[in-house]
Amino acid sequence: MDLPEECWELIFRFIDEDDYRFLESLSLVSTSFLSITNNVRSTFTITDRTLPFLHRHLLRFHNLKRVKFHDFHGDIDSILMKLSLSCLDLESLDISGMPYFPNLAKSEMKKMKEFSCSGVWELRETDLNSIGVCFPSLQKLDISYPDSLPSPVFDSAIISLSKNLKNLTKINVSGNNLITDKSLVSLSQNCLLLREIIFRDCDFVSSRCIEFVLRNSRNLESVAINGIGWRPRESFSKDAFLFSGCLSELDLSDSFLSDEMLRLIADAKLPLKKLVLSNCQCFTFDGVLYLLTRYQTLVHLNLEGSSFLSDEMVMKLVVFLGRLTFVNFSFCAKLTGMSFFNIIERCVSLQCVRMEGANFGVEEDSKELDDIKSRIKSLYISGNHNLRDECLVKFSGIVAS
Amino acid sequence: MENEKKMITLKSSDDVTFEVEEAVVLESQFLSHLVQDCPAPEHKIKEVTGKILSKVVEYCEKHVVVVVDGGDSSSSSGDDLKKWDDKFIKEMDLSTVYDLIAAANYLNIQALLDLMCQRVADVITACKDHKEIRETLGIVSDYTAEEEAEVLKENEWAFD
Repeated sequence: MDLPEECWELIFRFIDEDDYRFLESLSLVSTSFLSITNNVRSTFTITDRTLPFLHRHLLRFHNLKRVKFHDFHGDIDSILMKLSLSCLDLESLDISGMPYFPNLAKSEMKKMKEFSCSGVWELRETDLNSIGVCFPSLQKLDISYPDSLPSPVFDSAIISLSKNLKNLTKINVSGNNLITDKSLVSLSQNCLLLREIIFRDCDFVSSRCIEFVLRNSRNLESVAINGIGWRPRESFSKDAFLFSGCLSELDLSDSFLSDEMLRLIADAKLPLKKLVLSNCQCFTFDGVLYLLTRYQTLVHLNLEGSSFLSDEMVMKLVVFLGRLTFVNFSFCAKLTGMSFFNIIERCVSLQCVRMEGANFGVEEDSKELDDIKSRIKSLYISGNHNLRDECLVKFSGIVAS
Repeated sequence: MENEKKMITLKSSDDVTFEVEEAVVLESQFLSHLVQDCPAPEHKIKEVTGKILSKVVEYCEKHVVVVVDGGDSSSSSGDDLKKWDDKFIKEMDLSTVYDLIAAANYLNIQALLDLMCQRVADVITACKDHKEIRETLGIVSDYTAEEEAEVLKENEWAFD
């Protein structure tokens, strides 16, 4: 049973993508497997523990593409210099949560495509400017939730980034709560390839600006905003979503959304696959029903905290949800096991169900479920205070896998 | 107007013949070049046995039909195709999978190659350690005890 080495390499690449830690056992199988794993491995995490052997690791894994710092308290600058001198063509760097922002200008990494500095402790405006200068080919950037007060990020920094990073396809600016419409407008105008934009907890962004981005960035596939609709006199025009012909993921959690707004989304005929409306207020069952009848191809639905939902309502909704692989009905306090059984009966592709803080266990034991075999891999049902053993036994029969 | 579909005959290493439509052959980059460069009605593929070639043809025929019918590649036909792929690999033993990988690699059929490689990857990641991988894949270790200990030591913290 011999395969050419190039085929083993392909197989190992799938494993590397899945979880590179599986390569560890593979390296112990035989000498040729060792050399292929060394060749294939693309991701490396630098921690305080890996630091003493870093030089040897970099020689051993000579095709690394992605480096992540984690639980690291050493000198990031000197490591970055070492990386840039090691002839690696790094494409992704992640320094999330590190105590300070490194001096990027000291190391040459012009091919960097992906950079995350989410939650970095000390972030300054000059640091953000250096990202634009040092990583001109960047496609994905995460500068969310800097961990310093007062917030260090203003419109000027985002505008400068947007001018330098014309190839951006994805940006996360969440939690930079001083940026305004100007930032998003300049991103939308300068970064024409933008496909994904995440701006949660940016309180100064107006509905007018969101509309502008939806109209102007025609390649947008994914948008995540939260907390819209709370301010008085804020509204969306009828054609707000009509121009987003590629939008397949929409996250509007923690927002104040009227049924009227859900109808706007429903009538826009978006190619939606993922819809997140967790912890929203104002809309009613009628709005949700209207929306879901028009998006029957959804694979991911999150209605967490829609406390008005009853078992009967869910029974009506699931008819349209045949394609779902993920659903979240957590903290819909009226929902009992009845809803759960209806969901898994109708949504045969489901892999993950979240129904925490619901009301399992009060339903009548009428339904016969012997012939249901679900593909569910994860089920979250904590905080169901009426849950009894019999109910769990019933579950275990259904979600055997 | 060529309404009649052009048929091509493929002959395996053990002389089993398969008559297929030209569109099916085009799924393989190697065969489409072969057909273009040498317009004979029959092509012998010395590197692939009849048993494996029949699987290759089955796969390509299924995938051609869906692409043509799907037109706008509607997701329902995508779902059906995925189900068909699942079934296709499920019944296969590992040695057939290996042969198909070698054939797909030789004939340059990327989608089939990916499908089969993912299958082996899944088999490997289901194993709990290197000994089980050796057993499952039928690989005899060529490590000396010292070498294996050395790699074990090198691996410490290296896969954090």
